[in-house]
Amino acid sequence: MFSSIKTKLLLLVSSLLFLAISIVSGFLYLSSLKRIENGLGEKALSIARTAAITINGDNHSKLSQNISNAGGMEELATLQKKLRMVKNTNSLQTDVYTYTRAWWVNDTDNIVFVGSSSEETFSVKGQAMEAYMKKALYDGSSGFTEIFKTVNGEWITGYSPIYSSDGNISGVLEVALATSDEVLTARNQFLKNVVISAIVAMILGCIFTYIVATKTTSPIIALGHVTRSMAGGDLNTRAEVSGKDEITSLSKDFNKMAENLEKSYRELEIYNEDLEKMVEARTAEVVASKKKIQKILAHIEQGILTFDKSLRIDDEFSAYLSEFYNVASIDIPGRDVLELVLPESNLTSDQYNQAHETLKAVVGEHAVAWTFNSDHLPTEATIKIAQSEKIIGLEWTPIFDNSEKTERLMLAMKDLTAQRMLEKEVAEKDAKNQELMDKIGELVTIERDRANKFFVDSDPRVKSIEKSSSNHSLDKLFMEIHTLKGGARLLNFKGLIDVAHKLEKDLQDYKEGKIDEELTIKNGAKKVSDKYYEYRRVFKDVLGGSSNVSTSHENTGGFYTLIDKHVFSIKEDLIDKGLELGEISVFDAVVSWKSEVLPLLDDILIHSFSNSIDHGYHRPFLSGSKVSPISLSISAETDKNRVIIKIKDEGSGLDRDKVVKLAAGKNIDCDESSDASVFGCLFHVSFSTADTVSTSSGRGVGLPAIKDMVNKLDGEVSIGNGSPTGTILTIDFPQTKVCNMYGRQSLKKAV
Amino acid sequence: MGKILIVDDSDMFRDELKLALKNGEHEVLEASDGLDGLNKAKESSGIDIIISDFNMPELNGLQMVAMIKELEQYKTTPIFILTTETSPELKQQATTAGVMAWIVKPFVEKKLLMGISKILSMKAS
Repeated sequence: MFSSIKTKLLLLVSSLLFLAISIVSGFLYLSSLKRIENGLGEKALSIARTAAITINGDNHSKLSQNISNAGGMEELATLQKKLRMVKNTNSLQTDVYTYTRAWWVNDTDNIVFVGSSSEETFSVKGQAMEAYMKKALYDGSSGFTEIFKTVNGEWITGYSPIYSSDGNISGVLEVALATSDEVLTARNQFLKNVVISAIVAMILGCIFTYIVATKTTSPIIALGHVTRSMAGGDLNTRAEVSGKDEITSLSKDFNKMAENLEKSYRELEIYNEDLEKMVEARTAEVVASKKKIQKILAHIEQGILTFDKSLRIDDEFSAYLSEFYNVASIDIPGRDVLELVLPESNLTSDQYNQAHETLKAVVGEHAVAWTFNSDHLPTEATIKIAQSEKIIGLEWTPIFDNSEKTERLMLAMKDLTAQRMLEKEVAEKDAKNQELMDKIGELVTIERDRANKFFVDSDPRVKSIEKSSSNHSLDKLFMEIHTLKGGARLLNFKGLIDVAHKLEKDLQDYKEGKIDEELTIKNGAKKVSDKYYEYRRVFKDVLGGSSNVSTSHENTGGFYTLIDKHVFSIKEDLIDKGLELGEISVFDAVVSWKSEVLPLLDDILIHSFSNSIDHGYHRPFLSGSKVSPISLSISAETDKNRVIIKIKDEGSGLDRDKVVKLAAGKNIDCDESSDASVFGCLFHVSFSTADTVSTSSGRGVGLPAIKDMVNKLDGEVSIGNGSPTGTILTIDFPQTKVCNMYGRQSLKKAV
Repeated sequence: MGKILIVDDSDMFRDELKLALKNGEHEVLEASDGLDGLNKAKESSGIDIIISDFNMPELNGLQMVAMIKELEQYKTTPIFILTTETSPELKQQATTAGVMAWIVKPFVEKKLLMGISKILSMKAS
């Protein structure tokens, strides 16, 4: 039933009560002690006084005088008898005695005992005089001392002066009374009182404490219950608020705290809910992006993997790897990266080793090691998988951590086989086209009649060369070759000259016995005839040739063929007009044009070439301006899914003001601020900036016709001025409409 | 540009390295073996970077690096070791000795200079 605070209160109250009662008892004790002292003192004084009167002072003085010489025995006996009587009559426990000043010494502060109720005689030696003794001896005062303690108990002394007959003080008589009994009684009473008071204090304390403490602690206990209930999770509970004491304000504060706590808790709950939702959302995002990555890894047409310094492949990698290398997905993680990626590669063992060393020096090391060494990693290799050769491209990307270390490398691997094949094909085609361009170049520089004559003359000669070679008629062969070479020299057919010269030399050597390979001669002769027919074919097919030169048809690189056909056709026209042909450059990124597009391109080129030459060069020339050699550039580029053809000249360009004026005159809408709009007028039917009409241009049908043709293939056409001079005709086709395949080929030829 | 101590017992290789570093306008100090490298490091001041071969007479590259790293002024100096082959044990030893990175032979001049500039600019900032 006692709470801790009750016990403390009890102890405190009891102690206070006990202390109070003890102090009271103490006072009572001390006052009773005083009373006892006074009573006993009075008694001792009365005994001493009575006894002192009965003593003969003169005798006593006499005795006092004789003490030193031991005289006066009779008087002593009388005194002793008297004193003994006093002792006995009063039933004293100690002896009654008298004393006087030690008269024989100057020091008056000493006393000397004179007589005693005991038999013994005193020594003469003095004893220090106490204050009361002095008073009695000098003033003749009588009285009693305070209670004092000796080894034999507690005492109180009464004293009274003895007078001689002459009225002088002869000495003092002292009587001592034992106080022990009375004092003990008083003390016992005191102790009893203390014990009783302690018990009473305890009982009273208990009652008081119980009442007070119960009243005081009950709100605290109640508050304690509320606190515990709150600690148990019930945040709705509140303390009862009543009264005006500290507990009340504590309860109020507590309730306030509880409210705040409840509020915070609710907020926390809401926050937690939000947080959970957020975490869920984030988790979903992460899962989604992981899925996305996994989807990418599952479908990307590239081998993608990562690895750390162990050089072993991590768990995430693209499915393509397994497909490409024909290795089960399960066998890829943990596998050495080079071992998987470069099986039976064209790398030498040293190159392979260097790649391996580089990976070791880079992964897990300082980022600068990547800078130093990454060039040693192979970026392309030819490998063998299941007996077939593949060309792969390798792209290594470092993944740095926060501490400037290359934590991992990512490797992206691509199959470049098809691309390299295509490039090879393009290169071969490029070479072929270059050869063609060379021949055309050679052919267009000569007059058609001369070329025609050469071919008419050489056809039987080449037949003869073929025959002589198979017959082994070397002299005949030599002669024919020599003549052919001479003809080729006249026309400057370098390719043909080269092979003919080589064969000539081989024949010479053969004759002189320097070589004995008949095959060399045969091959040489074949090369000569092949080369000859190539020239002939170009002459016939590409340049139109002559009716008396015939050959089988073989399709060569379409765009170039077209361009050169036109260049050749305009060449003579130009010479007639007094113009000079400068540089024609051709760039064709299309590997294979659709065959149905070629006639269209052909028409476009006819129109645009004659436009360029007429407007850009011929008219200025006619009007007296100095014109530079005609320079034309024709390009077909690919951009995303478009094929863009640009035909540029460096002539005088378009006269913008004139176009604006003409457009106004013909009521054609045009926005003067926009070049595209102004020059767009030129595509209008019957719009021509030329003042006069020429045979091939100036009738206003060129550009509208081109636009018509281009639109048919879903293309767009525009025209504008070049920088610094000239015009640019731009034609933009959807790639799928015009070509089968595209790559890159660029050729330039001065004609 | 930086002051670089190169340590290699092969004259030819040292010359090649020196030429490359001079192309990057670096000041080059040369030492012909590990002991020489250690002495050059001791008697020179202001060395920004040390590039050393691994296999050398007297002291090998790693032994030299360990001793140089004990010198107060080289506690933070970047040191690179040229090598043709490393093993995990050797790499561990190198890291302990205070080697910053390995350079796999033959070094690529452009990349070597690029890495050195990077390290020097890091040091400067």
